Amino acid sequence: MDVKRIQKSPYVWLIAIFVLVLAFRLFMVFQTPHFNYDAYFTLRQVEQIKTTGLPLYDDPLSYGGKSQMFAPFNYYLLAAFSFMIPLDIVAKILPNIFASLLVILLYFFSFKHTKDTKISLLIAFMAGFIPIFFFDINAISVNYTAILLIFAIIYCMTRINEKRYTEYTLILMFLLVLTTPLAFVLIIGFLFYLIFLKLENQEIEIKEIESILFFIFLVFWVNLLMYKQAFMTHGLLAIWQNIPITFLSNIFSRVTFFEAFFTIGLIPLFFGIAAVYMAFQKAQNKSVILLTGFLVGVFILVWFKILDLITGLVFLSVTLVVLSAFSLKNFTNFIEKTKMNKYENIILAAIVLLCIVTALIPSYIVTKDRIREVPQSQDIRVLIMAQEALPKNAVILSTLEEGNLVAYYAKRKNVADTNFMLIPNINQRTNDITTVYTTKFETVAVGIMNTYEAKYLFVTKYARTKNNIEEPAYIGDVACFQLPYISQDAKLYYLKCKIGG
Amino acid sequence: MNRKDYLIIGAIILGAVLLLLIPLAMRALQGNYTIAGGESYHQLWLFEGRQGANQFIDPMTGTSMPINIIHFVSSSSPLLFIGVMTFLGALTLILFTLLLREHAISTKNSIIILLLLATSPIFIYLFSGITIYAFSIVLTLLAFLLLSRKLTFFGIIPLIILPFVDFYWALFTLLILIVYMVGTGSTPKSFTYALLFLVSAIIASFIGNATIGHDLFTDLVFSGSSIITDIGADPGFSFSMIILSIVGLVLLWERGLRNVFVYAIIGLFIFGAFFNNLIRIYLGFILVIYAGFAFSYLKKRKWSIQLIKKTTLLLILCAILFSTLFYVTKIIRSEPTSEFIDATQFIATQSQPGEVVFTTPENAYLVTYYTKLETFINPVRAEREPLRLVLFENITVSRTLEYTQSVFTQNHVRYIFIDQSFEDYLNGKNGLIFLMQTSQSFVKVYENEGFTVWMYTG
Repeated sequence: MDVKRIQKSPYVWLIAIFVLVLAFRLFMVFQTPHFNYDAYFTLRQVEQIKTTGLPLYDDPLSYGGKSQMFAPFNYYLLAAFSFMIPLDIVAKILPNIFASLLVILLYFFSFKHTKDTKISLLIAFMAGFIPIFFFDINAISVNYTAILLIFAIIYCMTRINEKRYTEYTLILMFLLVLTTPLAFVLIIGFLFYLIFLKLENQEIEIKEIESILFFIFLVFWVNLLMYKQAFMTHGLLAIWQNIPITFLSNIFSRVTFFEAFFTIGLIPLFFGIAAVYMAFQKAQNKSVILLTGFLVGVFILVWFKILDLITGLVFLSVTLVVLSAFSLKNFTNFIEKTKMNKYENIILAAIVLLCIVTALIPSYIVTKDRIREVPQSQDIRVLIMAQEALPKNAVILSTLEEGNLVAYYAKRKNVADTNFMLIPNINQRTNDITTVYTTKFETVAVGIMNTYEAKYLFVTKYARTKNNIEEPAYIGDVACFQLPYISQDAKLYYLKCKIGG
Repeated sequence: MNRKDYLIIGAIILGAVLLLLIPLAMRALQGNYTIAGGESYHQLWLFEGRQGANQFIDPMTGTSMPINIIHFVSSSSPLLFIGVMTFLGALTLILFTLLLREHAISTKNSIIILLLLATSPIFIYLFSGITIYAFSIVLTLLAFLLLSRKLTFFGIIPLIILPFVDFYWALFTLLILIVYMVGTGSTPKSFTYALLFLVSAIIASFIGNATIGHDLFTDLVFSGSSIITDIGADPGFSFSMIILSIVGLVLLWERGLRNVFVYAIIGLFIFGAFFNNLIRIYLGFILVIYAGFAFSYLKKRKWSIQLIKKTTLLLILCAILFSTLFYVTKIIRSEPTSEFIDATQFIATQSQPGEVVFTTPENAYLVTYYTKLETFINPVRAEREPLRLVLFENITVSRTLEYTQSVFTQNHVRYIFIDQSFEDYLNGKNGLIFLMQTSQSFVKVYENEGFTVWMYTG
């Protein structure tokens, strides 16, 4: 095969985009040896699977000991690969491969509906550089697998009448249910799809109905089995995951209205919305209606704060990118009919350039910010010291975010972490932790630490910044607080006092 | 209906009877020879205690009671009641089958509906313990069956009794009767007479209750709660039943004003079921028909892919089985356990009449049954006196000793009975627990297997 033919092949370009996206992601993610704070929970689960073959459902360290609830597929996947490659490498590479695979999936999605390689390659490029999609780049996030599976299901649903696609859909549905409860988002999307079809007087395929019905039963039943205890404890409120009020407001204030536009990407936003408009006004394309149903479902779930903003924005942006293919096709068709048809390639190049400016640069900024949000090496050093020296049943009080880090490195109980399910009075517990760091009164801090049977207080740069303090005000009282473990500005204090004892 | 169908229906009824007896048998195997659930003990007490002068005062809660002729059957044997309830369960299934047959519902559909009903958490709730609703449902089904068979006189009798068993049940039956007449589009004389007699009986019951000084409006309480058994509702629907019912409602939808009226009433029932147990139980018997139709449709229809059909039906069956097992297990594990009885009997041995026990509304009936003492709050008072519930919750979180002392002294509280259900009310160790642990006014007098009894010494 000669070079020119290779250059003309869309697959070469597609692989080039995939490699570019993956390389960018890996380059950024390997800027630090550490992970975002939540990732340490995943690492613990994967290590547990490697050791025992089962996930850590009865966690002895989280909140001093609690049951954990999660879908295990992603952890098993990481564990499987970690037998061949060290876990800290797998945990950096695998989620980013999944994220990059979206490029290929969306290329085929776009090509199926537009039959236009240029537009499909453009869509692939846009999919690779959605700024918000870089938010969890270093968090070993299950969301990358979930999003890949969800859009693969949507893709298969659009081809459900073709040979083997029903089987693919079923397999993907099984995998999705075993990966994440985000499968519920897809159910909501499907329901809106059916409603829109009915409103538009479009025919509903029997296979679609059957698959959706099957999916609904599967998702409800499997999730009820997996999250039964959570529903028993919190009732229907379990869908809000027992997230403390302060934490919930933080999640939803992480991105402002204008930032949301930029993190989605201006091009997909413009062309995506145009596609929705055209689908309902002119073409009545079923695939667009399906994607629109999903878009509306996600929007409503974010509105009611059932879906966290970042995940919601990722879903919205990926959907808008796919939808853009439809309006870009209409756009190029329109141009072909006008005198501007000679400039079609230039216009597409201009769109690519716009994408680079409005997507690639924000992607880089988001990634750079997130890469910084990792524990400091000195924090980890102190926790490793603690693992070697502290009594096995010691409880360490840290910030919520650092809870999983404490459990992973120190292998000791934490007072709280970011897995809030099943914890009674969660708001009080989180407020108590903040009070320990911010109170001026030693008796208050000691009283709270006594309540949670915590003998150690973990003070890091992160805890100082989060609580806006230099050092806990009472910490100078050496009669009560000793400093046995220190590494630069990471300190682990030992509490000697007891209220009323 | 052939011999095989009769055998299948017989097997379903026998299976349902065994299912109803499983909780009791399993508890007995664990050495616990008691009926599960506080409501059963409330009813037992009412059957024992509603005799004599204060027959319209609930002896357990001290609140006024509506007229209920069933309570005049005096008995205190729990075993006899279990026998009666199981019989009523079987009778319900028989009446339901006959009623379906009367309405030309095919045998196959009837079998599926019957199977769904027999395994539904609502059916198990009604007939595995002692509830007054069990009597109401039998009377209602009997009336509908007899009226459908044009046995007007015999059909009217249960309807006349109904308002004197449960006023609101009778009111909802009246509504269903109207919906039935509108839905079927015919007004046979038997139903018209039944309607008139039922209205008269309801009016008579209303006047009767007013005469004895009972305010019927206090009985209809709406408070939000979960309706899905799989996530803790008691009583409730299994999630598979909900989805099947929705599918059934969609499938059986027909255009026309009449159908809109029927669906609007069902919609109202569904809305009401979120807030009221009676409506939920009534709805359970309506939705099971739609769910049965849906299951039958899904089973019969030609699926484009057999694999999806088999997997979906398997999922539905697994989900139904899971809900049933889950609910039965819940009953088996529910109070009173032998540890619970031990703790309450400890209070009974050392308490004086007139003393009050401070515990959760959920524990109230059982605590009163075993200690013969009143509780600070119970489900009836919690519904009728919301401020008392607020007071109860305030006490559980308060760290002000003087406040707690004054409330306890005024209400003659002597014992605080703490179990796992109480832990949910307590604000960790920061409220009442803190006071009890640090103040001289409380003494821990009993502790065993998660049950603690504190004595308030003033």
